[in-house]
Amino acid sequence: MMRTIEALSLCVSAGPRQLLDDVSLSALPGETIALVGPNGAGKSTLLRTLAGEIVPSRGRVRLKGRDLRACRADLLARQRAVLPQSVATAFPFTVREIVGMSLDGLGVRTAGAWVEAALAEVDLDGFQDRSIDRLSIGERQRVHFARVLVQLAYGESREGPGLLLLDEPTSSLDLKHQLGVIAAARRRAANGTTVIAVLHDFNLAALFARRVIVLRNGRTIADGPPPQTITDSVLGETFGVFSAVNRVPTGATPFVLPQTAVLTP
Amino acid sequence: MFAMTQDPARRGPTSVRAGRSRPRLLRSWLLPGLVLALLAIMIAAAALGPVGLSPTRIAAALGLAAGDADPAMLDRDRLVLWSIRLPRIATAALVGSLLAAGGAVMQGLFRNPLADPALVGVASGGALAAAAVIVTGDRLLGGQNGELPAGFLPLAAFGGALGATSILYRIATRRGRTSMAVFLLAGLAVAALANAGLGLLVLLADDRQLRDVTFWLLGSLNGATWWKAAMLAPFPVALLISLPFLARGLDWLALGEAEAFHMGIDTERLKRLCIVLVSAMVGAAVSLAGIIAFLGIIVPHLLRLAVGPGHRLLLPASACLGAGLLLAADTCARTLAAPAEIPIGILTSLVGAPFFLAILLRQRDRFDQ
Repeated sequence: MMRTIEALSLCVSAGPRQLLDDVSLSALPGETIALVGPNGAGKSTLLRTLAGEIVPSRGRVRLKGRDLRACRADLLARQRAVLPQSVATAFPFTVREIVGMSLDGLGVRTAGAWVEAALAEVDLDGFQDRSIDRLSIGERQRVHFARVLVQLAYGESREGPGLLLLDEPTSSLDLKHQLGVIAAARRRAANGTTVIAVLHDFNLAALFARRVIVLRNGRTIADGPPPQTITDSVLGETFGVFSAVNRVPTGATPFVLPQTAVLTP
Repeated sequence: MFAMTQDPARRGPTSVRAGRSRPRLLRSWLLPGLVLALLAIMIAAAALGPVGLSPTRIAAALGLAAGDADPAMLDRDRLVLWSIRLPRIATAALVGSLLAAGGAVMQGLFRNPLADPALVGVASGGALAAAAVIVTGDRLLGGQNGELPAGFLPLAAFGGALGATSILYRIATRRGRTSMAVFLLAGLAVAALANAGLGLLVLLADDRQLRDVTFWLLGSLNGATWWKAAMLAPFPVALLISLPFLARGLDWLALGEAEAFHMGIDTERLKRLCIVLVSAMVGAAVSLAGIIAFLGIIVPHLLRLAVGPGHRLLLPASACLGAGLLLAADTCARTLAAPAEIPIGILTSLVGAPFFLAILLRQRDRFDQ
């Protein structure tokens, strides 16, 4: 099967700092990958490099077999959609305008159907005519998630399953909507979309991903299914947090309990 | 599953509060309405002046209706219309449309509703370059009678405006984010620098040059000719041609540079186009009419309040409303204190500055960061 995305020994540096140091990653259609790691580990940098936003100083990224550097921005936008950590909107667009923005050029009625479906999925039905700057931060995050879902859906309707990149998609959300976002992402993966998400919550990561990649100081520390990556030794090594990992008695899915954690081994 | 869990009780109050829905009727009739209003103002501007012309006399002089007036009066009406009023109307409308649409493009580029080309030094940069050409041009080009080659002044103004915009962009934008405070402060500094340069040029200038330079400082549409109006005409056309790309790009850019790229636009190309377009539009307007402030900020602001910030409608509507407002202002400027003429830059600032303060007062929360 052709890999959706294939990144080979990526290096990214900003001045003297090495943000990514020889990171490789490839993913198959339908795969769900969580990127975890301490603050400043290079998770967002990796995501933005995969998105084509950052050009690596070494290494290369292929999206569905094509080198990213050879891809025009508009063609790229049909193959992958990106949810950034936060979006500051300069002008008071309405929710409907923002969610349908990537459908520019499509007829109003066609675009409207995509927009309504995405808004329903993020539980923002009825918010269509609200101005984005009147919403709470969590609501805004869901608006932009809906916008990204619309772009992805439209791209996939023309080019087949693509790539969904999410940078901390649940950071401002309440529990219900955290679960909603994870469920929506998993539904996309079930249809063949490759989903890569930066997550800080290990429990959400274990719920969402079949594969967890642990980054520290721009390097890959661990890469594998949650039971092998969310372990006391990995968490101790990367975060300096010990004895936090527990397991559900019946299954192998690990969960992290802050109450049991200690900061020294 | 997610959609099913929605709390139905929530939809009631939400849809009531959603009263901010954009009035669809207003959106679809805005452009035709603005064009009609512009035409009405044009007729009024043609009629008003030292020689009052009734609509029937205008129609007769334009050859649209058979006039029953005596031939001598018809000839005089024709002269007044074709060589004085109509070129001035065309110039005022074009300058107004360039300033307002240029302001809208600039606000989109800098992601900042407070960006006005005349306030942040773009117009001053253009005026400085134009004034430098006026003062040094005689000597450099060896013209004895002080006549510069046609088109030279607008070209210089474009260069000056381009320089100012590029400097501002480089300073105020880092990693695709524009800081509102840095942008406005940098704009103040650029404007101060350009004005200092203008002051130096005034010292160097002789009497005739001084008169010409003063014209830039105050802004005026006096002395408009068909030739000058024709020089401005290509810019609205360029705006119209680039509108689909520009409108989509500026809408996306409102979410951020990275986001615009994610949605599929070549942001470098978009920014270059915007910088060149703003500089060309503002430079051309400045070279003909001097510095006219506030039009570029008030017009897009009013339109955003009325029909929302989408640039597909905002840009052409700004051009129309800007044309109408500047034409109305110019007509006031030349008739209120007749036979004297109020410099239009003074008039627009008199009206525009309090209006700008009112915007700030109403929207302080939005601009706080």
